[in-house]
Amino acid sequence: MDSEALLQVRDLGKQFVLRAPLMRRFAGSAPIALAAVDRVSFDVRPGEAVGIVGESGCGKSTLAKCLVKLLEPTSGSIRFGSTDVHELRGAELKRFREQVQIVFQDPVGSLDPRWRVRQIVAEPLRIHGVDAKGALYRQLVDLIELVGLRADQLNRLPSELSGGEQQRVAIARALATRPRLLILDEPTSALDASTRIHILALLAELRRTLRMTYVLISHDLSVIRALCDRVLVMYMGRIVEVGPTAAVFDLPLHPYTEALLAAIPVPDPDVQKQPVRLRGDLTWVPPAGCSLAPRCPMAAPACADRPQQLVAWDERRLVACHRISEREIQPVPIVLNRAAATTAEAGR
Amino acid sequence: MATQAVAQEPVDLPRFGGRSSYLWYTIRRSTSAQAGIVLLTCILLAALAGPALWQIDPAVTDAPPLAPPDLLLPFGSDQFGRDLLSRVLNGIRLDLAIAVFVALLATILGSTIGVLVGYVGGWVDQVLMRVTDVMLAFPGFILALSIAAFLGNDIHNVIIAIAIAYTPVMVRLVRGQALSLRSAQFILASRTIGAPSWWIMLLHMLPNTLSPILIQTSLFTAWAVLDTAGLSFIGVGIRPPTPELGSITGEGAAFMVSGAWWFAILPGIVIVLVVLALNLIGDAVRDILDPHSA
Amino acid sequence: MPAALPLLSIEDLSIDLDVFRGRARVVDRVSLEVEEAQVVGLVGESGSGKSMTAMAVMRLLPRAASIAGGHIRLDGRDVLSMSEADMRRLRGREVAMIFQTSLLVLNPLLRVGDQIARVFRTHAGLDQRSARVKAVEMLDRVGIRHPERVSHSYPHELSGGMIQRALIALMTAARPRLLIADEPTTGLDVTTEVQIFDLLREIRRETRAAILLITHDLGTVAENADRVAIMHAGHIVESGPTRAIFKQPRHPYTRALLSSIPRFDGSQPLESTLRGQAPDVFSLQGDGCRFAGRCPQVMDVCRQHRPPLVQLVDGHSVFCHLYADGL
Repeated sequence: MDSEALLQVRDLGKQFVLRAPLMRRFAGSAPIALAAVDRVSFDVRPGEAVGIVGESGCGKSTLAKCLVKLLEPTSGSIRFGSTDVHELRGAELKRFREQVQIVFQDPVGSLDPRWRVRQIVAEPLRIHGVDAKGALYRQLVDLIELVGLRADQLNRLPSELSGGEQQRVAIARALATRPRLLILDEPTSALDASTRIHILALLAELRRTLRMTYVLISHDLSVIRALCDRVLVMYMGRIVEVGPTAAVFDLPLHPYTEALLAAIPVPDPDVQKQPVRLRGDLTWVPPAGCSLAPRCPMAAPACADRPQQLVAWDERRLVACHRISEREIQPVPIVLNRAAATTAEAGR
Repeated sequence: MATQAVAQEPVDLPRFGGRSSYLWYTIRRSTSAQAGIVLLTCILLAALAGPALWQIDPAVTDAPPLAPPDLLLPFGSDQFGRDLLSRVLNGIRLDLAIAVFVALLATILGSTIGVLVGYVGGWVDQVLMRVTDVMLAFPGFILALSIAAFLGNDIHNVIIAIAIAYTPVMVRLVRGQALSLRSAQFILASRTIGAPSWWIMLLHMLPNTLSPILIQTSLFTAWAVLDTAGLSFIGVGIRPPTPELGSITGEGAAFMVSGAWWFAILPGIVIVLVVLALNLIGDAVRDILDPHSA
Repeated sequence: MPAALPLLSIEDLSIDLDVFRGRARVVDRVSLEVEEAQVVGLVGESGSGKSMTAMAVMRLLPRAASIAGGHIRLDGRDVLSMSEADMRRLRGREVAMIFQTSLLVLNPLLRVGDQIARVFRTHAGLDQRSARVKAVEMLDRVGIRHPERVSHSYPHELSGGMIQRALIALMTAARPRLLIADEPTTGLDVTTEVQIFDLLREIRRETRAAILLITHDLGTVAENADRVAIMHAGHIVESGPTRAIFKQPRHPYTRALLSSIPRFDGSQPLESTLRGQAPDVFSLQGDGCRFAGRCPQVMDVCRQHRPPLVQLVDGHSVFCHLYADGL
């Protein structure tokens, strides 16, 4: 484990207790505990962009909220720098909030509809003590131009901006206190395809110029591919695969990663993919053993009993599938004809 | 830089003409809103300019007692020979003033408690909600009645009594809004920035609850006129000789049997018109601010 | 070679919308054809008018919308001039629609099985018991693992994928010849999405139903459609066989759209030629090309005159002044 890591997450767990409906409680059923995040461990080094990918129910949003202390984990720890995030109070907590910021998914929802852009972006500055009018205004203009907006847009209301512009405001607000770590929770999911790529370009640019560290959470692998060096794949609260982005795309190890890659619609009619499919729908209560077992196309009877563990595949990759790590089955690339995936710009 | 190129595009987004043109659009389409505006304007004119134009002192007992309405005494006179029109005009003033104070007081108290309780939650919420539930179990008028009887008959006590009776309504309304706003992303965003709770409640939650609050405030003014008149009618509110619509009507009720119909009916009709006007305005306010709940 | 008549023929369809902001032509002279057992993708950004076009086929337009011209023919019959009673008989049996998943696509107050059973009772005249049995069968056919249990459940007890499957079961129970799928997988996980499309493919194989697939996602149409039509601000700008559109896009909008998808192998730089926003249809004036404001190759003629239809090879056509005088 890296002692230089900016963020160290160890065995993080967040359980939600669902109370059974009244009638069933009388009949004696115990309340169900749902582990939204289950024994998650990973490091983030300064300057890295780590992607966390998974679909609904995988716990990535819960994880994001734990990282910015919007939720308290029920087990495990998060260390930012040398401090345990859980122990932070008062002035130290305030400093943490300056250094770790988040951009949410819904640009409309994350901006107060009654506040103007300049108030929204200035809010963190005001809270953390930058009050002098001149200094504040200068910083606002710098921030707004940094994210590709114009100074005259400072006086607008969020409803007067497009989705992409709103998300830029959210990014400006997040960068106001010059944080060291930026968590991005589905930053482009609510945007049109064309806006999406502009925002991704902005994020890539900012990372370069400000030397930011990112944790990018998305269900969209192509977004992760565009921005992240490393990717963690999550399913039902657990990490099932870790590795450098390019490697994971070229040769996914875990059956879930394979199914995910096989499912991404590729805008190229010539591309052929291995048709790896999950069976059925998401189950709500995680079974014993491997959480994917009921749906896994490569499940063996033993999968339902053996506890799921993340083990090393090589020096940079981890996988939580005993059939793969014990070489019972072989990982296969998903895209079958890479060479045929030609650019769509022919004829321009 | 790709991002700079995008920023140069003037993105001129369509917008509605803003609140004011939507205001006119709604008013144009709603005859009840138009009626309400006309009626309230007349009433306000009567209240503000009336006593100045109709310069007869409401306390002077010049006229013959219990005289029926005629050209000199459009509303007739009461048992002491006081001009009823002048008393009614002054009464409208008093009732509207009381109504405005009641509405403001109940709004401020209710929304403060409501947003605190909604945001903080926990046992504070539980306790205050039970108190609110108990208060809401009583009809507003009865509640105002008991508080006014306890406090005494002057104007301040009447205002306080009615405002306290209305506060639980606003608490419940604002609490509901606060509960749903609590998990809104922009509230979460402010928390991650490090905003303290009071900042979030005052600067984020309250401004976003403004519409339902304003609608309720306008309704409060309508209710307050009726409740003030009612309290005074039965003698617990404003005491005579101060002219107040309800107390005048109450006095007049005693003389109905002996034929002096104008004494109770005319002030009574005025009460109806004032409350009607305020209710219509309240509906119009709701149509403008919250078109979905028509 | 196409069979005699196309199953669905939309000709020069125009739809106006009348709301507080004014009156706008949200669909302007759109023409589209769907052959039997074919999948046609209608692609556009939000607000391009694609959903309105679909609603018009079902005659389910909102009150503020009105047909301003054109024809819609289903199997040769004129849909727009049909009586409501005749239309009701068509809906469900000849043409059905699947919407974006939400809790409200199915009646939240009825059990799922009962809703599907109703289709059998109405269109096949079955009695309650047999209809319920057929409903469970349909749920099984759409890949639901515990069809009996799901049949007894209410929609809010099911996951997004299951609701969509149940909806497909409901809508295909009467074996319609045309299925209109309006963003059927938006909001669903991508692993569920691919299962839904597998299902639709199977249904097509069995019933030879045609599908009009409406979406903003180019990847989805690349994998599932035979033909694609691209819509922008109420106009169709280009249409043709899927391969042609993706390999030889002609219209600047199509090219810009294709350029704005981050590529699978990470090889594409993060740049897009698509600038600005779709024009506000309420403030448009004149008959020029609606893409003129954003087009990197705009010419003067584009702002004044409507782009002409230019037929390219093999059923590939484009509406653009750039090609007006031959390639």
